[in-house]
Amino acid sequence: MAPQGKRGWLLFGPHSVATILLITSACSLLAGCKQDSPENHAKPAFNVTGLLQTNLNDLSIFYPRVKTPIPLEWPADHYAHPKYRSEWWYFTGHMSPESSRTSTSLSKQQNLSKPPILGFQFTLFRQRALPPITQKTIHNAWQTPQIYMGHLAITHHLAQRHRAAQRFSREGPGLAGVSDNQQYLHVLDWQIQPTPDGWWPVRISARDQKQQIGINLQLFPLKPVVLQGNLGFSQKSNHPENASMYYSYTRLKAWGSMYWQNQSTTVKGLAWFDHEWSSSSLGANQVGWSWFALQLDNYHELMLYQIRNKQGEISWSDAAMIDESGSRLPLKVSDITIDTLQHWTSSKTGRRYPSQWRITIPRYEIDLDIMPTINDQEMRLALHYWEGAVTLSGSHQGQGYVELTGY
Amino acid sequence: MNRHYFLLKAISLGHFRQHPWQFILMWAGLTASVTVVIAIYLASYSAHQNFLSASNLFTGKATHQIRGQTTIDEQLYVELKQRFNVSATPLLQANVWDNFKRQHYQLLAADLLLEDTLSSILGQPLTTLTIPLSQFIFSNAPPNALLLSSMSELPTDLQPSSQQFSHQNKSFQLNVLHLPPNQRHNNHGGWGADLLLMDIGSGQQVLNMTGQLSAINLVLTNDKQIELIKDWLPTSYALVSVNAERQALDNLANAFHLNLHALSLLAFIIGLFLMFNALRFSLQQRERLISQLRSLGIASKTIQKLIMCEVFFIASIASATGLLLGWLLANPMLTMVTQSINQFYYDLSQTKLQYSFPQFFVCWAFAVLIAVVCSSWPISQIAKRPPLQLVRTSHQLAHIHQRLLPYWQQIAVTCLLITLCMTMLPTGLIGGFIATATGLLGFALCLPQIVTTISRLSLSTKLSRQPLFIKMLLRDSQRQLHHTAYALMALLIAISASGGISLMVSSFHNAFQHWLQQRVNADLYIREAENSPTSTLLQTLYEQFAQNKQVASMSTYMSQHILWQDEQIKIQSGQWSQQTQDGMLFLKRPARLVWHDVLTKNHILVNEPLARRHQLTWGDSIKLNWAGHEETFTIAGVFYDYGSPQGQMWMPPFDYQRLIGDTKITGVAIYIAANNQADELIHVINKQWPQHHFVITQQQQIIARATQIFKQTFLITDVLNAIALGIALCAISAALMATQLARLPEMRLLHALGCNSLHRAGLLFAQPIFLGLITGVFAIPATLLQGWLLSEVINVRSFGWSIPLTPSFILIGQVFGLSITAAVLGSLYPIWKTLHASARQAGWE
Repeated sequence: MAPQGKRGWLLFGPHSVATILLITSACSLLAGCKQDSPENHAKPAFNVTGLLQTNLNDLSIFYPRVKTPIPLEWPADHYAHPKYRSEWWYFTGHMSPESSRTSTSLSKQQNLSKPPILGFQFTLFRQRALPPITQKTIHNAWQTPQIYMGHLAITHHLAQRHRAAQRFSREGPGLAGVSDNQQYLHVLDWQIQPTPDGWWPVRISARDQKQQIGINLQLFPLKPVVLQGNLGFSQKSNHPENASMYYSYTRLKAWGSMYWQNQSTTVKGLAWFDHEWSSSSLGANQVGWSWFALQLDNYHELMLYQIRNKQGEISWSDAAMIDESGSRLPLKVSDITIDTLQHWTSSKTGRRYPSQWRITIPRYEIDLDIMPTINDQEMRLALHYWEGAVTLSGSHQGQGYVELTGY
Repeated sequence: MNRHYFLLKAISLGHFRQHPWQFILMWAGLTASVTVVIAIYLASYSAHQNFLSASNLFTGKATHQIRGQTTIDEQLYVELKQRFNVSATPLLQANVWDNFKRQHYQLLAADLLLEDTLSSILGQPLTTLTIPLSQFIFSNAPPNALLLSSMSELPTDLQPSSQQFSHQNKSFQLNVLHLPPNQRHNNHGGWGADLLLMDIGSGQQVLNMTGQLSAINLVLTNDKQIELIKDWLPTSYALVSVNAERQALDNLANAFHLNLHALSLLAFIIGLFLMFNALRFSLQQRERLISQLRSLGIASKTIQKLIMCEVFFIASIASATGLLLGWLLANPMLTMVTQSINQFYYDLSQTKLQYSFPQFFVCWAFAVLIAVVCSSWPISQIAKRPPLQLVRTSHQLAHIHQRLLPYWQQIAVTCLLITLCMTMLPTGLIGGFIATATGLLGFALCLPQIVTTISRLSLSTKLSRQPLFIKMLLRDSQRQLHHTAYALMALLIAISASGGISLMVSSFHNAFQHWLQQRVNADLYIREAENSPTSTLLQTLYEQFAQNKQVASMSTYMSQHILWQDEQIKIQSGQWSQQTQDGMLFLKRPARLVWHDVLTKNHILVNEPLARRHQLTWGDSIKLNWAGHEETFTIAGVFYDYGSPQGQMWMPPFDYQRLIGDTKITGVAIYIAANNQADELIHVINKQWPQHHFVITQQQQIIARATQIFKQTFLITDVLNAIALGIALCAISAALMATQLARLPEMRLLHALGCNSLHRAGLLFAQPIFLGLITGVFAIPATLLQGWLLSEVINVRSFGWSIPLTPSFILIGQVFGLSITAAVLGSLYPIWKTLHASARQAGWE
């Protein structure tokens, strides 16, 4: 499971704060991101910490809650759950030009020791602005209280460059959300287009002319779905109502094309997909998290996160190993050791992030060194956070994505 | 330094203490000039800024706008965003009425959650308006609106006040959140006027326009993208370049502003002349003193510097005074300018005076600079001349007769040739003004030579038989030419320009009245009131009255606005009776032939302003597009239209119905049968349809209203003309007065020789009258030329109106009379002085 504040920052925070700040972000940061000066980046559109603080006494209590595991059905649950306050669809992956890999299929034997040259992150966020119970009569489509945001980032490992773009729109009369007949999920021109009736293979397409980046990829799972937490019920703090529904596809084959400097390259590689929805939020004392989604060369995956409190201590964490068959093997806190080896400070925002880790899981004879492919993979968009491609070395080779917030 | 100070005191302060009127004339000349120019500049600039501000309210930073003939289906916007992901903003716009404050507001509804909205409409994000914005979008309260205004007094808090508004007879409640003043300042967007800003969802709700948009704003910078969108757009929609359209509208008004500036410049030049002449006279009076200083070894440059300082000092004070007076005058001027703009071009409700202090400083510095530059020539001439020449009149006479007059003649010929070229060639409005200016200057520069020639001829032909008084008069006129030449030229320029403007306005008035009488020839005009419920009552009235014996004939009117060449054109049509057809006046083609053509398929009529703007003439073809239906029409004729410079076309009903697809009558004209009264017919209408929403207007009412508007429109012209003429009269009178005052020592000699008071006064009186007479006569052709240039060149190039010139004897008499009046005024004070001074006192002081 992913911590709610990471990709799911929209899930957190009381209504009066989150909605306001979300809207503020639409107003200010979008304009702000037009200029790439340190002065602009030094001030984020809004305070992530503010979003994450929990107050269950406000309007958010009127949203439907995730209190127990909810039976999931596919493909219906791949789509939106509009009554819940927040939701996101999250894709990351590592891609190489098709010619650089001789293998036509990505199977167990795929050699992950060959470093890919492109990494991508593509996420659609949904936020409901008013609880269903307090919602007024909707007179027209513009008044539907659903707001969508998309983030796209590409890391070019060879060029040592990272670029990110954003889309933002209300659902409106077809501007964002799930289209009629569930043909696609989108925010403006960025889309997740599933195969009718089955979802897989799913096509994700997004392009930004200004940043000159884009993806047009098809994804197909190599392993079955992983229900994070307890049958998809993923708790985030000691409070029983701070939880979400969360499932993952930890290993997907991906193929298609990617755009860098507006030049198209036919690519293939491995991807990861998360889908999570909830109405709850972080605890008032929680300020950020570190999240790891790692694909090992032994056909295993490791997902783990740690949520920090204001004192800098780990207040909640979760981890699981996914084996060759796709079975989820939960890990206890005592099973894992995470050491931060280095830090990196952003010259644009002044934020100091951990940038190199050593993860040890003696139970599975895992001793990994995790290195970012580029230090500067900071997402200076609506939120300022770090989300980037990493490579694995040590006991196993591999690749993955790490997300750091609240720094 | 001490020596300089002493000289300054001796030359300047001492002189002006003895001759304060010279200081006053210099000060008054420049003050008047700056006052008029600043008043017009501020009024014109403010009107322009107010126009930009008003148009920015709707278009913001957008470069293009998608519009439909009525509204736009919002799915077009959705598809546009998904297909092109361009910077685009959906908009709804309406004028709403505040039921409590009894005031109109412009309501603008946009997608406030969109980055493009914030940057393209407001110019900057409303980062500090977090709470109001969140309430805006999805709150349960009545629809919220932000009141953005730089005009009204607003509270500084964000407490919403619930207010009742109405639009098209529908009332609705809005929670208005006032914007704090510190958030209202915006250098980029257009928060110029009162504006209610709403979210588009609420806007659609209150305006009852679900699924509809007024327009889509786009920021497009890529030509390829523009072409792609144009190709993609359904034919019933148009991608309009906002800049081009705004520019076209602005250009129309620019011609008006340019005319104003030209008039103000005339006043400025005349005022400057007043200063220049007063300075020249003061220098001439000090020639002996300057000669003495030069003899004492003072360098000419030192003298030059000191006099320049004197000019700078006076110019600084005069410019500052002029700025102050101009600022005070600008407010009423702006009201008049806005009034004229509203009649001609577009509705401009805002009359806020826009200025900045740096502008004032630049104007002040510019005025001082011009004054100093204009003064530098006479100053340098005097300063450089050898001391002996300064006291010899013969040298000055030789200078003007042998050098200046031939030189001026050459320039005059060149100026008149330039006038000819600028008139004949397509040189635009600026070329027209150059022609006007060079025409005036050409005539003016000929005048001194004409005075000399007339004097010489008069003296040479019957010299022996002329009385001494006449001989003295003629010789004095030649001898004094170095004093009077500039004044005479300025007098000619002033009265010719003023006369030309009056001639143009009177010709325009005559043409307008004739056109109005012809065009508005029905007895009654009936149309439906604005915002009245849609009905077919007018059609019923038309059908019933067609059988009424009180009615001789009737015409119907239909109209629709379409976009053509990025310009909004009014297409008119209807069943027109013979009398209505006879009311149309055409250019260059007999009406019989025009109507013969136009009543065959695919022929249209265009109004003169549109034809002039697009160089259209009869026989040309144009394509018109409506709702995807495009047709080619041939122009059958161009009709006079002094009603508005906006484009209009007329087409027969069968073409109109085929192109527009609408048969709804919007107006009816009724010609009453003989022996019947309009009032009786109005009574019949009111009785038969007591609940009607008709606006019934009689012919006389329309003509009276139109004439009133015409007068209001030219009020600003008349005021400027009067100011320019007033300054001119003062300037010329002062110049002639100075000339005559310079002759007082001669009067002393004549007094000593036995000339009585009557003779002396006669000499002082006769010379200005003689010069005024020549100037007045010569001003008549100059006035006619000016009138012709203004009517046939400036008006055509500015507004697209050609005006037949109709000079009158009264006007010519006025021109002549003005010249004589200026001359008489200039001689009164010297006569009074010579009559009341003893021989000793009348000498050089």
